[in-house]
Amino acid sequence: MIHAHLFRSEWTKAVTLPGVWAGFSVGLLVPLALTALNVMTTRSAVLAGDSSQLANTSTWESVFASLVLGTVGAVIIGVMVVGSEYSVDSADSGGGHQLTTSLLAVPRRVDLTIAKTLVVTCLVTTMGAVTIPVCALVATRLSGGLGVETVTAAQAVARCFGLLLYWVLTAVMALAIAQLLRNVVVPLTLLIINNSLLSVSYLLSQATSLAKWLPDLAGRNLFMDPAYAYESLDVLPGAVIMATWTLGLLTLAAWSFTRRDA
Amino acid sequence: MHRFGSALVAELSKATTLPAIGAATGGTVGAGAVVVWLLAAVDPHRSADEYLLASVGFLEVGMAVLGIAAAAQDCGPGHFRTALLAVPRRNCLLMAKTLSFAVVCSVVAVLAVASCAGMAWSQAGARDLGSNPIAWGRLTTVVLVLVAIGALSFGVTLLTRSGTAALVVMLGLIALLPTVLSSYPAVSQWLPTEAGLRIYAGAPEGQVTMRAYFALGAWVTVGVGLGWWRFGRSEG
Repeated sequence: MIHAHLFRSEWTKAVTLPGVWAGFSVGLLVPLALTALNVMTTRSAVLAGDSSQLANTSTWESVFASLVLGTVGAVIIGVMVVGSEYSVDSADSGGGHQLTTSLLAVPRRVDLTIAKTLVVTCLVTTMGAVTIPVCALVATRLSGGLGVETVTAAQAVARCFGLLLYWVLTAVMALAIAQLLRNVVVPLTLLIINNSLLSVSYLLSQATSLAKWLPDLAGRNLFMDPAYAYESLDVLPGAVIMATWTLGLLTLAAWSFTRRDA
Repeated sequence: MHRFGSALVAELSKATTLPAIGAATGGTVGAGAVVVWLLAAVDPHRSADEYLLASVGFLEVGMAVLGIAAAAQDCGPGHFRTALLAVPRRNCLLMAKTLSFAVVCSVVAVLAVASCAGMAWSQAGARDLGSNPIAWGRLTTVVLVLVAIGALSFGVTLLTRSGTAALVVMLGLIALLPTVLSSYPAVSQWLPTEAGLRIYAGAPEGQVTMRAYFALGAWVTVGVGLGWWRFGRSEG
């Protein structure tokens, strides 16, 4: 059982980290900017009577296409919450590593990992609770009701919760990878590239059908338009596979954390 | 001059023996080749030139990490003071650090491009012996752009004095902003990677290569200049 004061102290550490706020800002501002640009492009095309270059004119599809990049914000938050413990940027922390000081205060390492996981879950949920409605609101305002809406209200709500789950699981995986590698640069670089520049999982999926069992592809249909989604697992099996990857990585990270020197 | 030479040798020695730089070099060279191999596995009907062009984005990320690894070495607690104890004149230290990085960065850029081009040639050649070869001009401009991205990253790290903050800034510039602004080429053409793309791949409008050189040059000049300014005025 995690004590409330342990969660509170980890929460305070996290929300006072500049890197976490950078992640929160990326998770909010990048999808917001992309939503505005996507919807304005769609609106201009519809008004000009030439939407042949667009995949569809649905406002909700524009929102979901933009919200994919919010995953980068979740990755930054997940990596920063753990990576800051291993950072040697600050001369104020003991021996350059904050982790030794944290372990003096909380010697039970599994509890510390669980507390950090809960903090990341809360932070990313908060980010989603702000970003998703704001993007939807901006898109609705800017679209002016133009275009053909193909997403029903029930589908939109289900996909919003699916996206939120995808963000949370991705952030926890990022946390686990950062804890395993005890490093910020490597997980941040690999995961941001995979979620923005080019998905290595997507490339692999073109070469082998086994790639659909990779966590990011397995969970893709939680929020993607089924008509344009990659050839991957259905929503429920995909969510279970992604959650299993997350739990497995987290267990491995916690196990290695308890068996290594700080 | 003798002191500067000694500082340069010391900085080169530091740069070439840092594990982070070795890892960034190996990662960039190896990942570039793997990406080309994957691209060829996914779409076997493209030319070697197209495979190389598709891999440059990954190489740019690798060069950004290299710049961060090289500059962040003296941003850690105590390192900056020790470096200044050895070389008290900051401009001399900065010049030696920048020149040593330029040497390392150029070598890594050449290795990375050679690795990607070699893999691209082997993959395209295995399927189509008559495929387009990659022009020397293309290889040279890709190396030039990669060195510029590495230098910009080096400057941003000196400016932020934090490897993590520099990484977020650089990945934002390389991976996120071009995606967000992809529908607005009039704006995105001024981003460093987009300017680089117009240098090594050519611009659709034709006569804008000089503008691309100007944009990339301005990013590097401002980035490194601000980094020098901040580094020269930082407390130990």
